[in-house]
Amino acid sequence: MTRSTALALLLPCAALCAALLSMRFGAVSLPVSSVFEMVFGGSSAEATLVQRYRLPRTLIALLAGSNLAVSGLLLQTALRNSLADPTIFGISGGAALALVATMTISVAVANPDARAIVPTEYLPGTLIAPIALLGALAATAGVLALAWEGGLDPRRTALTGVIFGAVLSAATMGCILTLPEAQTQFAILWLAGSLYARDMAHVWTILPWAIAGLAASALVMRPLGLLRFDATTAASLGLPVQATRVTAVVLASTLAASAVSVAGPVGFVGLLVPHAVRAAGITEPMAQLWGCIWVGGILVVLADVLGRTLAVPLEVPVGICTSLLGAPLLAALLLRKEAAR
Amino acid sequence: MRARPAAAGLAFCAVGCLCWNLTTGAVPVRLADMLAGGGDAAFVVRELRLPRALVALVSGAALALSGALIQTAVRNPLGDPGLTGVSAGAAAGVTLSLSLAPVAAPTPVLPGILGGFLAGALTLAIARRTGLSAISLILAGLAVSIFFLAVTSVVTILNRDLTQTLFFWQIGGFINRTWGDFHHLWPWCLGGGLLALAIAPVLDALTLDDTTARAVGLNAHAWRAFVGALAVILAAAPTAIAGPIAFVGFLSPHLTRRMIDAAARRHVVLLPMSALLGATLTLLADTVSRALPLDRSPPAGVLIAILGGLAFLLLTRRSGAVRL
Repeated sequence: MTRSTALALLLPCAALCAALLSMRFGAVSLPVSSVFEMVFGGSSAEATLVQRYRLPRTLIALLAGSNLAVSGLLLQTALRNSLADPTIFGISGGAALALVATMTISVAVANPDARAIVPTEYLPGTLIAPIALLGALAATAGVLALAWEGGLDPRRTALTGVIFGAVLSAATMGCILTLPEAQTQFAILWLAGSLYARDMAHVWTILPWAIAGLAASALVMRPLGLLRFDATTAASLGLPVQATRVTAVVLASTLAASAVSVAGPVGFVGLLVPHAVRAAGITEPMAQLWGCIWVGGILVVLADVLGRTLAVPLEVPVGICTSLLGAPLLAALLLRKEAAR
Repeated sequence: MRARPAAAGLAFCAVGCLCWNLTTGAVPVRLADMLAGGGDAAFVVRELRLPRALVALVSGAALALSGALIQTAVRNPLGDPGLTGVSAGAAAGVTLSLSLAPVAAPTPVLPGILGGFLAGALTLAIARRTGLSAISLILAGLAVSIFFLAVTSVVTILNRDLTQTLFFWQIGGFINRTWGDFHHLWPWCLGGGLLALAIAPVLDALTLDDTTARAVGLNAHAWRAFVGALAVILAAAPTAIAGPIAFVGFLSPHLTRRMIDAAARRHVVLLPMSALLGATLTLLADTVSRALPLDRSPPAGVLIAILGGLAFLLLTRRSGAVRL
């Protein structure tokens, strides 16, 4: 058995272990042995806890993590930019702004009595992902257009994305601050990238997008792999270079948007995971995709477990945990790129 | 434009903005009443609006000076305390000290300066190994910022009593700032500003490359370190009082340079004009966010980040004013 087949089989097992850990830990700790049964049945208080809260939360962490990681992989491959990531490029910021802005408007218009703990619940469930997608696509187009100068210089694109993202997140904060005070708090929590109080409805919001997006990524990944060579070589191998690139970038925005629509803008998963997969020596595009799907899920699940267990009963949002990991990696990438020059 | 009329125009704008700021708000105050003194209007202005406006004014000036000093110290046109991680470091320092010793801290500025030094040094260490190119500095600053902001968030969340206060402070703004805040702020800014002005000729020499600077008898390395330290102090003080505010430090020196003739672009002219412009910008942002027809007006930091970010993008485009 080759190394990559072993990894391919090992990763789903690791994801399962991470998921079990995630369902075991929390304000009430449960034995791992019984968690498995509780998922599939039982009506004790603990089984209800697992089925209603921890299972959906874990599933969302897995799906959001996979989507963000694959989004980063597609961007990095299509744009040949090792700094590409939905957070750095302002894509997550665009999705978040679109959601928060529509949510603010709907709160102002409808003036609901009930306070939603997850702020996207002010919006109709079927509209959440499409709104996030519109925002993400607009932000992607904006950043790439601003950074374009006869080509996309990797660092300039990253800089443009960062500043554009800062503008978007300031606008998002501006929207949030016009909300009534009680709702501001939950919205700020959401904005950090959080999995607090998610239920099965959120799983159904992201699931179809995740399945379709990841399947489409599998189709795009093989031709996209040719872009490892320079564009001229890829074109001479019969690849419609620009069309492939555009498809990949749109797909990346879609995946990131669906993740943001359920988990908020969780940062740097798209930067961390593809680099981790490459660092493990996986070079074949399809293997990279497979690796990103699982490692992304595992990363977000574990980051969430960490955030939940750090200071029970308080919770550190998962997005802050991933940022703490992402910042040193970004620094390391900047240093490594320069050393290679 | 010649330097003198430009400076006069800026000073006029600053005074105009100050008057507008003091007369705008939930209770409109007429300029004549304000100047005459006495009555409720004078009380509102003296006890509520004046300290807030002065904090905005001094913060803007200090941030602009800090940006100008960073741009000179590392000879990088994108220098800004917010974009190089200094503000995030200062914010982390302030948050940590408030959480660990809420009563003992005599001033929030000192831990802010410590955090700012740490963050600035880290950014520099990363960016130096990447050749200090304009973009690398900002990306290194980004990595450092993200780290310190995440640390700040963790501390903020774990410290339940202060969570609300700290979150609003971290957005950056001047709402509800008092005379006490102003008294924490001004000594650092005045001291730092005067020191920067005193070394203006050295700063002019530092804009040249190190060999030339050495030829005129300067220890360029030591001076750059000193100027950087001064920039950290000038950024940490407003951050400790008004929260992290980006882009003012980048924009003010650039707009000033665009305003005056090349021959007049010496630091002895640039620094005071940048400070005036920075003060005008923050005052304006504070006034406009207060004048917006909303139930709850957002802090000035929101408006500054939106407009400042857009201006940054415009100025740094290929055809823009700032060469990268």
